[in-house]
Amino acid sequence: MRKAGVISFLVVIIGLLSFKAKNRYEFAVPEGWPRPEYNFKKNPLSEKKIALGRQLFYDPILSKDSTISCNSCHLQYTAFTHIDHPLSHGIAGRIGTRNSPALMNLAWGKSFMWDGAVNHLDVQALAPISNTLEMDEDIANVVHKLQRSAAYRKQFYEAFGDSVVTGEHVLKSISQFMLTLVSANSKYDRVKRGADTFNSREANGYKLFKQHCAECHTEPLFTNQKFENNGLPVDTSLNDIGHMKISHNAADSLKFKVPTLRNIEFSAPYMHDGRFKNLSQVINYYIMGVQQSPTLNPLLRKGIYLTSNEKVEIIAFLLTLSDKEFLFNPALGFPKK
Amino acid sequence: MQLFAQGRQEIAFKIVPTFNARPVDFEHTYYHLTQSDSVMLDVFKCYISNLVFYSAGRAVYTEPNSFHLLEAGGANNMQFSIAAGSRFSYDEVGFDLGIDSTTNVSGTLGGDLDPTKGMYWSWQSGYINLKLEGKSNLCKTRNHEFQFHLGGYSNETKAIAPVRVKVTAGPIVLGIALDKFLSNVDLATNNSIMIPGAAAASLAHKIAQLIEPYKE
Repeated sequence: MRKAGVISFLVVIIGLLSFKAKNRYEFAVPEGWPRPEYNFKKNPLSEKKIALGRQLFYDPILSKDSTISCNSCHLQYTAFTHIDHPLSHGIAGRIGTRNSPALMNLAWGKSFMWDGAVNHLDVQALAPISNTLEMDEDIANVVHKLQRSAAYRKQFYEAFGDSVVTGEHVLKSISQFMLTLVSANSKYDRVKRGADTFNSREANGYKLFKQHCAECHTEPLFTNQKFENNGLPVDTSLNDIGHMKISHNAADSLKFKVPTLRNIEFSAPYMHDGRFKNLSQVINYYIMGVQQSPTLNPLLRKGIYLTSNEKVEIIAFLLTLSDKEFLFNPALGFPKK
Repeated sequence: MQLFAQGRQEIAFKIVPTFNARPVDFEHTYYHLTQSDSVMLDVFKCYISNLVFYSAGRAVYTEPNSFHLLEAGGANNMQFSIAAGSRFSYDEVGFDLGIDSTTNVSGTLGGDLDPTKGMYWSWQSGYINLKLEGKSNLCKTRNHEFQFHLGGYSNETKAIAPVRVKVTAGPIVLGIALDKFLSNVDLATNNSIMIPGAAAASLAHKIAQLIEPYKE
């Protein structure tokens, strides 16, 4: 009798443990990559929380009139950015002031937004939710709307053990989904692992890239995460001063976050205001368009000179940063019921 | 060995915003700074954090996880109580008006720090340490409104202000003289601060200096 009790007790314990193990999500750091910035101990990943975050990411309930979701400006097939729109638009056709950034490898992010206004991934979603040109909503009202939904109450209970929706839990679950947007399986990555080889154009392009671009677009994330002035002439319809708005330091004038170049093939248009429509325009800009100013990155002062053949080679290399597995991974797409 | 000091004690803590030494009516009373103006206050919210009790200058109790959002007319109406796990006597309290920089860079947090409380900036990360809003005929603004949203945690914009006040045993009741604060602000020219910066930091420190014991 007692033995049976012990055994059934053990069965329950093992059952609970395996439930926990099944729900846990192991975040894998690709080989050779630095340690993530994100502190997973404070928000341990779980399948249920990621599923909830994914549901929220794709749900227009986050916007004031339920028309715009995160996905509206961050589409998976275009590297989670807004293709074709130089400046992304929010509810009621309102046009924002910047090009929505591509979302990937956010666990390594040290700050967020083009100007570094956001200091932690967990509070990033507050910005587009509240911005009057984007979702024009208030996080307290988002919580209120979610609380009214039986389906969400159930999902919050499954994820957090509490059906009471809080701002903290909304934001942490959105973070969890965003953390799973890892792109690390491009041709470039396969070449690095020895599983593939560059053709001669790509190989030459890689050499040129390391010579002219890698100082800011540093491997393996293809960004040094810093704020740089790359010499873009100021668009006087926006007068965007970049990081200086946040730091109040004149030395940061016209500096913007260096974006990753991963999946660059799919994330046009380019720059913080989306002024370039294709990669050829971008390369030509670096050869001929860079404007001198006190905060210009020193590497760009002397200019970059490339032959037309070299331009083609750099672009051939940039295309090896496309990660189809990431762009078409169904686990990152619209959640099907 | 402080066996004799064991036990629990609950200490009530309250901040009373005052105008001419009387509690402010945040509903519809118009006050006067001078004879020719009038001021109405309708929002006062602030964070109190890192509470420490002192006896003869020595810290005797530090409240763990010490973050309190106080709101005039809100759920707690500017008061809370500290449930201390030990008994001690005290003659002074210390706390911060606002939220420290470590907490400001720690992502999203719960309880009184939940971003739904209306005390977190969305466009730029960081807590709003104190909100004071109202109306005055001195303000040539829409509906004569003024808003002070004071916050900022970086070195250049640090708006967190330390407070130390001598108190007596029993419930702690502190006043904050908003009339003195508003007399020192030229509402005609300074009536809207919504971003971190030197102006916000300066006002936050000025308002913290006005916190003192209050007799109800």
